[in-house]
Amino acid sequence: MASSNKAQRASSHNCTVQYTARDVARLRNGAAIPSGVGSGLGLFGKSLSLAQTNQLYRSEHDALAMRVFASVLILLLLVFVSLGFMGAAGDTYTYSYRYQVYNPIEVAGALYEYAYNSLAQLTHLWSVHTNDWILENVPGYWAIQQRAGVVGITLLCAVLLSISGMLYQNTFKNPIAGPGMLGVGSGVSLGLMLMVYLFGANAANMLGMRYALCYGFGAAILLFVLLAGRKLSGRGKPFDLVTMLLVGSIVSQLLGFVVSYVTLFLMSDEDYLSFYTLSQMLVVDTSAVSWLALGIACVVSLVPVFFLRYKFNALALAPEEARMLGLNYGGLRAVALLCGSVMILAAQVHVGMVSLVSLIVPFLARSLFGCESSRQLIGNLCIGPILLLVCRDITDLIPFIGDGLAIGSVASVVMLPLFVIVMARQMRGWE
Amino acid sequence: MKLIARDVAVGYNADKPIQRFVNFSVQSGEVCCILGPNGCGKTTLVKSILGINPLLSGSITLDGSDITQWSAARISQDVAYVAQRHSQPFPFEVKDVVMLGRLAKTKSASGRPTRRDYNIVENALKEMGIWHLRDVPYVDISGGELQMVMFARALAQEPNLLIMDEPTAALDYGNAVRVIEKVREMAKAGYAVMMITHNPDHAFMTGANVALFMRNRNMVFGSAYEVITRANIQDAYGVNVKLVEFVHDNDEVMRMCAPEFGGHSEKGN
Repeated sequence: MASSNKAQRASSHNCTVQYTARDVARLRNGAAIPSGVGSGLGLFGKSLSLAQTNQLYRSEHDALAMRVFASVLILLLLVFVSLGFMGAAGDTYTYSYRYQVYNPIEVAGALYEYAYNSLAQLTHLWSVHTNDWILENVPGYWAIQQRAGVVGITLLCAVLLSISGMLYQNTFKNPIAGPGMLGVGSGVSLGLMLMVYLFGANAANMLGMRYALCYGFGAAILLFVLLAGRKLSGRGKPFDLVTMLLVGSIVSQLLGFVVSYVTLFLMSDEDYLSFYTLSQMLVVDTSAVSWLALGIACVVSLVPVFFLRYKFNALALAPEEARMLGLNYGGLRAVALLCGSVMILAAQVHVGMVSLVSLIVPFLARSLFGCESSRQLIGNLCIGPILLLVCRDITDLIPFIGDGLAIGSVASVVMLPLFVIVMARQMRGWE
Repeated sequence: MKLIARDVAVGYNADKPIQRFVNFSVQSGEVCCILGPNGCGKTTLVKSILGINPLLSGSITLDGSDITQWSAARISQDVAYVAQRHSQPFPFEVKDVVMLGRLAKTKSASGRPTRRDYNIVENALKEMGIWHLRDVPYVDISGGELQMVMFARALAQEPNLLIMDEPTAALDYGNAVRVIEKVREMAKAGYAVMMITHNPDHAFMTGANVALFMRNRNMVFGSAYEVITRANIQDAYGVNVKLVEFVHDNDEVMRMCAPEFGGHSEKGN
């Protein structure tokens, strides 16, 4: 008797973790009890309210928080590199390609001044305290400010590109579906062609008109494809995907012919050159109009997706299966296609077609963050900006007098090896 | 919870229904097996119940309320459907698949799981014996385990009535037996289970009522012991069987069909 008591006491002394009754109750209720490596980051994940912490999903949440944390660190590093190294190189308006390197403290200082002044100008709550002659003393202010605009637009467009890719891949249940498939891009190039045809060399400066035409024609094509898909599909399934794909590809082939005919035969050489510059997005426009247009497109397309991020899981199911689970599959698919198209439209207007990003980023997000759509969404948010910013930096590192390379073609070269590796790995998983 | 079908005609064309007078019922704690040859309208009947296909005539009521008037969302509150095939385009984890059953049920508008949903999914995984598979991508598990995942997803819906379309199709013998065992357990736990199957033995194993569809567009409904007779099996499938009865070690009486070869009728071609 005595010896067994002793053994009991000894074992309870050896036990390193002792749960009280309250701990057990909290465990039962699924509350988070800090444990292991991920505990601090787990709290971080919880504060981001990525998902409610629960025993069932504990390991996912810890891993998710770690990956988000790592991605944010990498992205911050990349942004500082991009601003510090490229600040001068990105100054395309003066054609002065001096590589001037700014250290992180200088970059942070310039960014602070930029943010302070922009906020002051926007809100009028306080006066702009730094005049031009003061800003002369902030090293690299103008270059970094210019570059910050480019980086900001690139990051937003990267988010749009990768999330539209995710939406299309999930909707088509096809890991290589691309968001350009409904022919939105042909509307954009039609708009640009009209701009140049009507206004000639002035087209580059008429920003409001340019965004109105590009967005307008893109949206018109999208509406046309959707309506035609509704009209031509058989009874019972109004928005048949195959029908819409067919209509989309016919429309984009036709418009592609029109655009190349007009640009080749009806335009002067100078006009053709400015059309090329515009359609390849060789210069990222960082004007207020550009920010406004992009911001509206982002809000319109990203907000619904954010609120439906869990429901989008149902897109991977068969329509009838989703219906049997009580979900409105048709509505979800319509939202996904519409938002995805608006995203790809905006991205194409502001940075040009970088189709490989919308193809490969959802792949990476799925393999690193999991298939579950809310986690996949976070994965896309993390990976897309990193990849496109790398491409942007490489693009701007190659200095040409006048025009540079299009970011789309640089992205193809940079990401192709990545794509091959990922495809090879995932293919093996599917077999 | 009681589902009653009265004089139901199923099919795609009102002039040529596949089955004319389908009558059967299933209530909580019971299993109802739908038996019949290929193309006799079993799956079409299920689709009519679920509101995918329109009903040609007759009535289907769930607790006295006409289910054909219900919206898909309302049906999913009471009825869970385990389909015959399930396409797996992306390697979801098992628990995520089961969580899909909660997607339309959660209180939050965005479909974000609450603590209650996590607990329900956890229980469903444990009840189906796939708790150890919760983190595995569901493309990597066996067919029997996949069927258990689909059962768990159906249970996560918190239904009263479970409708299964050939749950043992494409399963090996062991997995098929385990699936039937789970069906028995579900009925014992108080679910009403309606199961399309091609194997008359399943009706005996689950102690079910049987709706047997004949090839001449008639049907019989009753307990397995009344309906599965030599004459009825001959009428439905055109094969001769002998019914074998024996007693297990646990005193459970079990009846099974043993096919008789060489004695096919002209109808069976």
